[in-house]
Amino acid sequence: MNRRDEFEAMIGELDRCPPGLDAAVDRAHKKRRKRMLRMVVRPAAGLAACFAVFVLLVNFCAPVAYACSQIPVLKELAAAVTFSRSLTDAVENEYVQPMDLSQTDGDITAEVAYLIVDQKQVNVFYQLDSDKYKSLEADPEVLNCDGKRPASCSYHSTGFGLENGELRCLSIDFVDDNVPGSLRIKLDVYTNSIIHEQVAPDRAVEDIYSEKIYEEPDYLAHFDFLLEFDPKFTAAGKVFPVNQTVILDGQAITIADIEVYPTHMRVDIEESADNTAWLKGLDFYIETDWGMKFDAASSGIISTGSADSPSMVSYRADSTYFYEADHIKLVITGAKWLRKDMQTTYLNLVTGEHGELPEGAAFDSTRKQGSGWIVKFRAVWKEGIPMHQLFGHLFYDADGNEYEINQWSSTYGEEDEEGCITFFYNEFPLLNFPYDEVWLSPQYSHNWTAEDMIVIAVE
Amino acid sequence: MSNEEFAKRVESVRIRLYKTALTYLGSESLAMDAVDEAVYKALCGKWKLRQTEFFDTWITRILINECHNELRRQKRFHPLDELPETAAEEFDALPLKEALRRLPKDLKDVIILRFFAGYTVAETARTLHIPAGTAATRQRKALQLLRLELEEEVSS
Repeated sequence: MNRRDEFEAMIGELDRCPPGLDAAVDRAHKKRRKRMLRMVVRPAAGLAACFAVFVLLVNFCAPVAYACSQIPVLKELAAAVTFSRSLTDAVENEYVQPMDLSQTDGDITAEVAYLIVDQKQVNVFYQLDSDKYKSLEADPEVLNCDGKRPASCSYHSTGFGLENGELRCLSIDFVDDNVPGSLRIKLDVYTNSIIHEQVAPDRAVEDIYSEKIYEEPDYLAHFDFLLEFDPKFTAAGKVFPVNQTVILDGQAITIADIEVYPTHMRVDIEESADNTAWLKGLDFYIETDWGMKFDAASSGIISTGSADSPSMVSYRADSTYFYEADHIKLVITGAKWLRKDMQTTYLNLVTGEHGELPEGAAFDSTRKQGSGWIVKFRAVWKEGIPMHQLFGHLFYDADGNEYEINQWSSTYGEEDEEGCITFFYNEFPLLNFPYDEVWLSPQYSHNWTAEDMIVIAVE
Repeated sequence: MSNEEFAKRVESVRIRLYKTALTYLGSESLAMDAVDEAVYKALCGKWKLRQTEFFDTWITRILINECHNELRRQKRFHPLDELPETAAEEFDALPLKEALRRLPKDLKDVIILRFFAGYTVAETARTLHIPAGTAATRQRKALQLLRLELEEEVSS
């Protein structure tokens, strides 16, 4: 058989399509519905997880470097990073530091299997296992080698509700400082039956919103890992200076620079003091000169704020790092603003009377619980826009005294007649707040969409 | 893009997707799994596609990534190294199917899309995010290594 005959034979083999091929879309819809349901159920039945995520979100992280040793890329690691295009690219480019650190405390074993680390972010992939316990969760703590908490560092866990042995990710983000040469990761492990047990949603909500949430869980095991980073992974990223000022919705902002790391990109903004609104969100994407698009981050850390104002001044995006793009475009399509005269908004907890709410949000209900209130709003949701918090964590009484929201939950609304979900609920407790009137801190006042995309070339 | 439009577009490209996956993976069941996963990912991410006319190349790109992921997984258990472009004699000694599998990844991507899935050079280039000239060069190199003389009509 010559080459041409071999080729024809191969083409012939390809013509036999299996009968199930035409149902691929149906299977995709079923799979998606199944995963959507899990997303709907988890916030309601597992608010403890939401609490943990919230607390950890206030502290989060990500990394940079180049090339690495030939390591076997495990299926589990590839599956564990699908939430992030940048981390997926890092795994595909074998930008992974294998660790193989294991500790056992009582009946529980913790293993740190891989790191994806760069100049600004550390992603720790670990697993928990036990023959005795299920539904294991870990409260992480990140420390320098001297036992002190790193400055300007925040962290965020993914993977609540995972089975024993599944890879979890702890992302540690250094906003201003660089990743040090080593870090200590402490994991306090407990079993979380709320996530896995079939608890009636209403009952779960009541339990979760009680003050009991502040009680420390009964920890079953404690682990303390020293992570030493290979210096080739913590090398500097690339910074593209931009320094271009654009007018968005009548407000002037300056794109200062774009930082490119293996795990993420940062678009750094400065804004004019004359603006009448603070920039709270930026809709954008990055495009290479050959037309490849990199989206703004939609999970984990999306943006970071400024100490001087409520503005968000650094925005995260999928990284072009592994694509060696020297010419990129920043394309801005919209923005989210908080008018400077809308820093707080009034709500009467008894009557529901309220001031201006974030665009697309509506008051739903309040109910008295214990020495405080549970407040519920609903807001427009559509595909591509993740559920988000409508209000900041600070609220005030009539005398201007400050209080803090440190729990919240978001749940999808019910499906409409066409089977679509068009809104979500935002619910949070005002603990130890006996008053009838409250002033909440809106996260934003309104959204703005550019009529013509604003394109900024970056060399 | 509505679900109905999505279904229509998948319908129009599904056979090409399957042929692409089967050529990469060499197994019907793995190819079906890869197509299913690509369709699922496309369904979840369709709102990201800003220009629907690029749907075919976009979903093909997703599929190719799935195939590469699967090949990487297989490689752990059944190492099958790529041969370098200089190994003309070794390519020559292998059956075509085997030689194709051991092509350098960049060349293999082009050949599979061009001659087994039936994409044009322009579509292949767009799918792989490379210039059309690069796609043509890689096609020429790969055909030389495989000792295949294929006319343009094969790809139509």
